[in-house]
Amino acid sequence: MNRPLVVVGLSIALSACAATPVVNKPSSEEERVFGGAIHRQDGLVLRYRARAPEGMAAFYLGRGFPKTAVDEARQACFISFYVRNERPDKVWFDLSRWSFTDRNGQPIRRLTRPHWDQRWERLKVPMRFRATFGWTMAPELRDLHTSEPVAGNVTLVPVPGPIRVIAEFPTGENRDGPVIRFQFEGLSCPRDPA
Amino acid sequence: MKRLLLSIVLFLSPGLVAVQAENELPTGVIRLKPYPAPPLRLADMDGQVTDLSRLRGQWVLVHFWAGWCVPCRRELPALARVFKDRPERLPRLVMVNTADTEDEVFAFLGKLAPDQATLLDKDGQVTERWKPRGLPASYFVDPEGRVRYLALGGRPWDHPPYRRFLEALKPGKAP
Repeated sequence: MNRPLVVVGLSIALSACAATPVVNKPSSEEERVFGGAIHRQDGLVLRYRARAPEGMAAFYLGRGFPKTAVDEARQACFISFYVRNERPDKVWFDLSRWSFTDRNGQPIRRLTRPHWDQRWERLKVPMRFRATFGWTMAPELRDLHTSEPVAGNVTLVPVPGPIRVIAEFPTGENRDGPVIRFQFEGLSCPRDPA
Repeated sequence: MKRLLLSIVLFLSPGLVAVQAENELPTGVIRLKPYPAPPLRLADMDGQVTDLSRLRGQWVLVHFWAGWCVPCRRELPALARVFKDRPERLPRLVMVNTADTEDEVFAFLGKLAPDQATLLDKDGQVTERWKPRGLPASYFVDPEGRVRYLALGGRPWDHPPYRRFLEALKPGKAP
């Protein structure tokens, strides 16, 4: 059997089976520019896009980042997320409520801000680059007001094969409203061409 | 009795509408529990220093942005259009670039907001102290130096509700 075709077919099937409805039309220019897959559910818009290492490297090198820092970043798997709250109440973007698992169901380690701070410290990366890198990362925790977007990268230890993401969003001022749950699997860590 | 009540309601309604309009904020602008503005003293590309603490007595819009930030790219021309028109009727605009190089700032502003100057937060540490929720971020500082409003993400500042909000920020008055 043609393996790439099976993989593509399986990815499409998994995307179609995702628990959340998928629509193709972005509702704001921000979303359009962001691109990638889009899910909408219960007044929440979620988009995601895996970033190729060469693309990430070009972004940071283009902003003058030291090569050592860029080489370090290239080792990670970058997934950009965009979330927009279109509900009348608050939504909580809380990465501790997200899980990333590989094709065997094993958890994938997320590379958090303390990890990067430690790496930048060791590599003596100047503050301005650390600041920019930090601003390109998704926040760990953020309450989203009505109409508020949040976007940024989540970094993972790269794994081969598909990644399953379960993202839970508590709602309400005190996080006591219904929890919105997204689950999707059509995602993988792109690698540089050999 | 009913007629009397109706008359009272009709008599008060213009006032009620005015109060309601005063309290309405454009989408994405939120009222904060006032707190003292963090320190902000930075130079622009010409070395001209702006110190926020010396701008007491007027409303100040402190706007943080960066050249790599997509919503900033969309928001900045709208901001520039509004402040080019009638800046004397608006709060004082203090733009702060977060951690870009001078070349990046020059290229970016030259293209999108050539009439605007920006302060340079070269190492990003002043921005950190303000703890924005993301970039861009717009804070409204009242004449007493307290942060009173925050605009969430990029906003279309040249649209009527936003213009009205900006024009309503006068010393001794707030929307």
